[in-house]
Amino acid sequence: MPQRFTLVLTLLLGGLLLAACSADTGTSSQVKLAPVSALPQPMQDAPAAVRTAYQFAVANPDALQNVPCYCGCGAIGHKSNLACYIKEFGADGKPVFDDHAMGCSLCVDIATDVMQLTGEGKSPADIRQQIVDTYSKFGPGNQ
Amino acid sequence: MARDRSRGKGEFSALGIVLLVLVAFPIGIFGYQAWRAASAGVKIVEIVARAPEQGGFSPDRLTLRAGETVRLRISSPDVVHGLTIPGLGVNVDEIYPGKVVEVDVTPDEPGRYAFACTRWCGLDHWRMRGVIEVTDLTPRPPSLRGKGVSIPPPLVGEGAGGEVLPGAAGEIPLYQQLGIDLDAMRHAAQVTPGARPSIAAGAALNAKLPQALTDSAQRRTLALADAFQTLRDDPTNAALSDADVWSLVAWAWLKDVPPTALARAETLYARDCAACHGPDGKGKGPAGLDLPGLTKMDPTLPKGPRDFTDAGGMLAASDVLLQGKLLRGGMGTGMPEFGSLYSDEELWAMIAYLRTFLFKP
Repeated sequence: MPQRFTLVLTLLLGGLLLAACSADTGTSSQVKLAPVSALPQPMQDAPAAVRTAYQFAVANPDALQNVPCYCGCGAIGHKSNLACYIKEFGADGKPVFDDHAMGCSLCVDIATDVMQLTGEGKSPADIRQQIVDTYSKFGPGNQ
Repeated sequence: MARDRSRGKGEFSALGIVLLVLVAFPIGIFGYQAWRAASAGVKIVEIVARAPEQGGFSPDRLTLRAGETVRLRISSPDVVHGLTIPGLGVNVDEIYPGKVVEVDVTPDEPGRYAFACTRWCGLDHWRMRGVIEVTDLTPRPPSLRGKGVSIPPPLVGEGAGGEVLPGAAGEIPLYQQLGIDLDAMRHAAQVTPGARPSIAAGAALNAKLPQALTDSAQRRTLALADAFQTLRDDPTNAALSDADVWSLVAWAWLKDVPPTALARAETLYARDCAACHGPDGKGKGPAGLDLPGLTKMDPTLPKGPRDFTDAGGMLAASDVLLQGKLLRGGMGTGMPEFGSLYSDEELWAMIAYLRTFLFKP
């Protein structure tokens, strides 16, 4: 009985410690991401920030369609930050990918911000305004 | 019975060891860190720097509070990285694997501060960036405290009831204010110098420059080939050779740039540009050979990073155009933005430095 009590105590304390450690990392934002396997190979092999942005775009197209992009892509017909990742969704609902964001720093910065703000529970209007406030110093937006 | 007791003791000892490992050891480690933090009076933030394919900076988003000192403990598990946080005056040249670099920062002003790796840690080095948000120390109203609740942004001007407003007027970049399309197809300059123009030779001519070339705000909007043509057409320069007029252009562009600014830009170029554009500016740096955005580049230009020694292209570009490209980055071409890392002075100094690939002192 004492042994069992000690074991339980140990597990409890260990669990508490692990919980304390994980709470300290501060990267807790919970947003929906598509599985990596849903991406074409080049996007799977891309730097982590780019890969995650593509995963976010597939799972949250509305969130990226809600914000402009400031990389200059309005000139090639992009209507939102989403277009830097996904050209369109096919009849089967599958995304047709665009590799534009693979070579773009602003596109990924914007999507990363949207992802963070979404995880913080900000409203679409607030997120859009924050993107405009942050990125309009780089150039004209495409919305 | 005696055997049972001894087994009981053995189990107890084993549990004691497990307890020691699971509890005492971590408590010791975290206690030591907490003691260090408390004794120093600073909060500790751990940042792990990995090659971008493996995650880049972790975390790459940080929130600090203005006026609060934080100790950044930066480590790398793979290759040598560097760290710059220009807005907070942090510059760490080398973060060696297995070592920890500690830097104390006390942000004064709320705002958004970009940070970046400063060592060529791999082909995707240019992706290795992050952002520190510095918030005001002003406490939130009690009713708004709690997770997921934010203070709405201040309403500014008309249409603030949900319509997206443009950013602050002062933040609109110069190229946009002047209506310059950074990505428009451009013809190469029709006239280019036969030999490398010399700034010193231009100064020695003691020529009088028109106001469009002495006023920096006007000069920055001009393509250098157009400035050459203006000077060439000026009757007072009739006695000068074309080479002399090009040297006048070189002098007009660089005579007011302090040597310290050029030295700073040279350092930044070596740090941030040379891997793609090459130390000699010819656009043949090893990291620029296989950029993911090569197919996005202007089809009329050679594929790859810009060749700063190409007179046709560089002399057709105004300083404002180059500044826009530098601060915004290439549109999908793999050229990152430097507007969040460089000050205005550094941007203009870099433009001047890029001119030195064509102009000699």
